[in-house]
Amino acid sequence: MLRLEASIDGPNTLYPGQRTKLVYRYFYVGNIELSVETLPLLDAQGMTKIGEKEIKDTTEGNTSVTEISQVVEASNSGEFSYGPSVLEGNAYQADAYGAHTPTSAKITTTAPPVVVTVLPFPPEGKPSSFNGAIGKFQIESNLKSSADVNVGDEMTLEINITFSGNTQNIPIPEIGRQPGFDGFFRLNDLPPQEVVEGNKKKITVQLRPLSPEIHEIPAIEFSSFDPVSSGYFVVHSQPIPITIKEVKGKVQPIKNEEIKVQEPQKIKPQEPIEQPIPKTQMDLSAPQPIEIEGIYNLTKVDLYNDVGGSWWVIALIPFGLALLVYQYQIHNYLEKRRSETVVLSGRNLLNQALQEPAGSSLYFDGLNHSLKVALVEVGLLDSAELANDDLPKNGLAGEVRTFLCDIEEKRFAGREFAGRDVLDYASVNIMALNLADKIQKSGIGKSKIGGAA
Amino acid sequence: MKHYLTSSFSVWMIVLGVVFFAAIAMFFLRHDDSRLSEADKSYSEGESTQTIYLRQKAFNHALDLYLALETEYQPRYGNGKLYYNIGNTFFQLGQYPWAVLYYERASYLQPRNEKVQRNLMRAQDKLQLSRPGTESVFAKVFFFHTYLSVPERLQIFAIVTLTAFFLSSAWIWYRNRWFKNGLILALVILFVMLMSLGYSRYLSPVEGVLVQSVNLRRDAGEQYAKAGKQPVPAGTTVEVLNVIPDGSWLKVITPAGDLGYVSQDAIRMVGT
Repeated sequence: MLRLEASIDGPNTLYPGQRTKLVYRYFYVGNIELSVETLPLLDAQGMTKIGEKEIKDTTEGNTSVTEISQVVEASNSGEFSYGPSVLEGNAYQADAYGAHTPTSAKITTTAPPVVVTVLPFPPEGKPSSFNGAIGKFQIESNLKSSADVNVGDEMTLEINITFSGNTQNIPIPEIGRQPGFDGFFRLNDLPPQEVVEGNKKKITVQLRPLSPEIHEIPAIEFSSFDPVSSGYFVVHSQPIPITIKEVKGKVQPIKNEEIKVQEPQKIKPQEPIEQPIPKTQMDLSAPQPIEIEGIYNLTKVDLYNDVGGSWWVIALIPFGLALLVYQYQIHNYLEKRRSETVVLSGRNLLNQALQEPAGSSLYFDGLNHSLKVALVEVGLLDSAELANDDLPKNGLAGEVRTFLCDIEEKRFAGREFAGRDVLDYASVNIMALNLADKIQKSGIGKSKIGGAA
Repeated sequence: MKHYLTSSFSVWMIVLGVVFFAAIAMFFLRHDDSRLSEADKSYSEGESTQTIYLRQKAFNHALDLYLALETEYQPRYGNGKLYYNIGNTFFQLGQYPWAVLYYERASYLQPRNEKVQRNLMRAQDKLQLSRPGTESVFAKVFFFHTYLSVPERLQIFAIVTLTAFFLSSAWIWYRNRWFKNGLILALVILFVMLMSLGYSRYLSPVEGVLVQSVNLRRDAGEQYAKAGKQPVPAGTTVEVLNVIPDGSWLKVITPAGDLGYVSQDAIRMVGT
């Protein structure tokens, strides 16, 4: 057995924004394998589907019932017919492996079309503030910020709309189009925040008063349509007294001014609301006082990053290190080269002097100069041009001084160094070479002895 | 060897010299921008005008010019004056969260500027936001870290690095104890600055300002539950803890200690 039922669980005559539930019920006994399932009610062409379809399985005796429902909201007026709806299939038996064996011929069941009528809102008595709310409501407004502010300061207004019964659609009242708001308050460009808590919708609106002449936040009108009585209802919140100052004062503690709820009342048809015109344009145009310190007069320097003020300066470290290593290598190279040159030159000069004819002035001058140069090379003397008497008297330099002075003395005495005493020259040569060796061995790094001793 | 060393050293010196003089030339050849005076003038007109309409018109014009200059020059390592002026203009237009953002940016570049701090406080007062408490012990001990902005510390770092370089060079060639002592002192300052900059770059909290009131989410997406009962008010300066890979959501912690995710549309970063 297979039977299909299509129905509306709720009103079948709706107004735009009103909701109803479209329902299919399958009644069947045993197992049914469906081959055709045409269910136009679930597509709900012309309506707005709210949420996903809901499937519920129950049993009535040995009959199984599957209920599939979809909540829809009327959006456009008109008559919408859904159907006929068709189910087609076979009864079957499943074996232990799950294979289906048909136990009946093809069964077809059809449900007649379901018609939903969406009526337009009646134009008679339609309030200008009506924006599609359906049901009965109450409205109250609370000021959530200070009631004592300066011109242009932001104020936070909380509007609570409470509904009763099965009301789903609560559009926000258009605050900017309410009487007493346009021209007096500037509203935030962003849409207000909305929070639904139970049967209450809380709307938070940011607004700024534009004139010190404003003494209250006007009453907010909210209108709705009641489908039961086919009439409109209008409710108002109470106005909230405020104080707007031209000069900035201290921010007052937040006050929460509760407003009594006004009961809804059925109204007679009324004329569209006229927007009041401000008394004088100048009153509203008074600019707010200057509260902050002035700007800088910018120059081109202010547009650029500071010199050396960005992260690339970190690159100075590797760059500088590389240059230092490079300098250090150059320094070492030059030191080494200098040291090599120095060692050779002292010795060379002495060797050259010893090659000269004994007793000649070249011999004596070479001897004198080479030993002084050797002293300079190892840092024991500042200059090789010093006179013998100016050489230090102590240490290695002192030995050289004694040696050179002794030679000079003997040279000009006329006897021993008359150019004939070879043994004396040999001993002089040996002494000079020994002194040169001692100087060389004394090495680099000893403190210099500057000037004459 | 000698030829190689001297010629390559000379090339380095020439390159260094060219770069140095090119930088100097670029600094002095920067052209002036007529939008600067126009923006300043428009701002002044906004302050002195008699009607709200004209006031907003003038400030909006100034704001357009300032924002265009910011987009073009991006002085993120500058002196912060442009950011301050933008903050003032937003303030005059009643856009306090944006004013807070630009004052915070100016404060980041001018931490000692009381004018910026005062205007920032006024903007926060307008939004009825509480301000952070007193300085931490860390800030007192390492006063230079908070007393100086990042660009200032980078400048000091650059100067000390160059000084250390020249002292090192001098010490290599002339082993003088004054050079050595000066070098040691420069290296100590350099180390401290490097640590301070490293902290700023990699360890210090990244701050952002909420430019619109938002609900914190428990995860990166609008579909996740709200992390708190109330939305975080616009203008709040929050610490950014993490950014999800595509950058569309940021994990933040508010001054009140609430943790959650916000969309990138709702937040702008303060620092560089």
